[in-house]
Amino acid sequence: MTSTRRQSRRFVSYGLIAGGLALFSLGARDLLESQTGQVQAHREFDSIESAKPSPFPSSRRVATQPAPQPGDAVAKLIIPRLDTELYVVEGDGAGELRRGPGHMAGTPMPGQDGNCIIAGHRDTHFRVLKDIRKGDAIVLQTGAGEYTYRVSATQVVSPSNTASLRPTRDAELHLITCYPFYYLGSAPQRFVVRAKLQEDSQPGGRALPAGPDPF
Amino acid sequence: MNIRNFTFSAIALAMLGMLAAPNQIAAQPLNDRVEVNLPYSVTIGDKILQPGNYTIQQLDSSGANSPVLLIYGDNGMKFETSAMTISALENRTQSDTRVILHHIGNDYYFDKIWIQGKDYGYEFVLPNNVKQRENEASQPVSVTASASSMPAAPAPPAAAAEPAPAPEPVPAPEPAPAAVQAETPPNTANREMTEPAPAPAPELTPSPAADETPTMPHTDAGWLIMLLSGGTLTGVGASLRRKR
Repeated sequence: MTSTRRQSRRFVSYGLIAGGLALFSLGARDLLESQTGQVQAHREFDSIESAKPSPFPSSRRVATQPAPQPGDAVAKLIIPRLDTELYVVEGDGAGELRRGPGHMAGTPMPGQDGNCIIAGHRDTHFRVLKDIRKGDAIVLQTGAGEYTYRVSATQVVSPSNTASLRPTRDAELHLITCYPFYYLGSAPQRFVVRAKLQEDSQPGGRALPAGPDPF
Repeated sequence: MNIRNFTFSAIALAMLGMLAAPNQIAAQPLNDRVEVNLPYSVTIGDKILQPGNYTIQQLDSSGANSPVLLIYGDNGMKFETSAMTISALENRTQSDTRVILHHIGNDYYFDKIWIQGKDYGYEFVLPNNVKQRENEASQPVSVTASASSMPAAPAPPAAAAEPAPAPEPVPAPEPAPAAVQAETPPNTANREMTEPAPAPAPELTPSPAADETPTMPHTDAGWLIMLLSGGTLTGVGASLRRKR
């Protein structure tokens, strides 16, 4: 009897240790990947920048940029007042958001007309949004240029309120993360930052637009 | 089992329960519903709504906030038309429900709908040919209305009175219960539309692709709770193993 109890206790203890280690590993992986993912995205983004065509191309034929694949680094997000630089990857799936803020597939790219949506984890990359204020500048650098948005509003909404995901006529940016920022477990609400493209925001002009070769 | 072990086991069970619990309890969505008395004939797409009472209701799209609005006449019994809208956001919640109309020439078109107590509204897209005319003379006209939210679940089986360009089969709603009656301004000068000008409005026609409203992304990494839970479970397991 005692031996049976001892064995069952040992079995339970091994199970708890194994489960605990597995959970710990998953948490550590997420935390680690949020850092390494940004380093990798930084490299990818820099390679895109260096591969940009020259403003004075020597060749008349210029390759157009292919559409980004999920996980590709597509933009650099800068919030000057918060001294923040983040690399945005394409897609908003779990894998992409572990690496960095994700540009929601199907929404316009930064600088384009319409509602550009970028989501990020509240407990890693987008925790800085807790300090963002109306009027803050958000700069997005992409292969096509640099675009400055100005925060026009922040709001806390329920997850079922998808008004911020709807298409818009003008060039807008929505940053979405979970709320409250400090919350153990699955946060019950969403924090939405709405920003509008500044009219004086100009593309860099170094990359040629996609389309048929005019020559 | 002593108190220490019991405490450890209780913590471990609580952690497991927390992890096993669903991430989100799905909230029942509320669809916006507006009752309005239109004092003028209003053109929407290829349809002209004659002056009178109308019910404008957000399309039930399984939990997501749909940009498609359904318009019913005849006290909510007759489906008139549907319209695709885009979101209009405000920094503050609205103090009252308003239906804003464009007044272009002799015609009226829907412009925006603001909902009392909400910080968002619905913006209608004007057809291109109307946009050109808008430059000539346009003056917004506000119409007082009242709004209510109704659970998204009920789907009355009554068939639509006439075919409509809605993306889904459109059921007619039950007669508006509990009386959310529009407070109509004392404007009885119903202007008749001498030239209806039925402008084909592709923007207003809801397309199936556009109706697929995306859902909010899941933006919790959850690394902290996994670290804490993992550490706790490991600690409990180790303490059980050490116990003789």
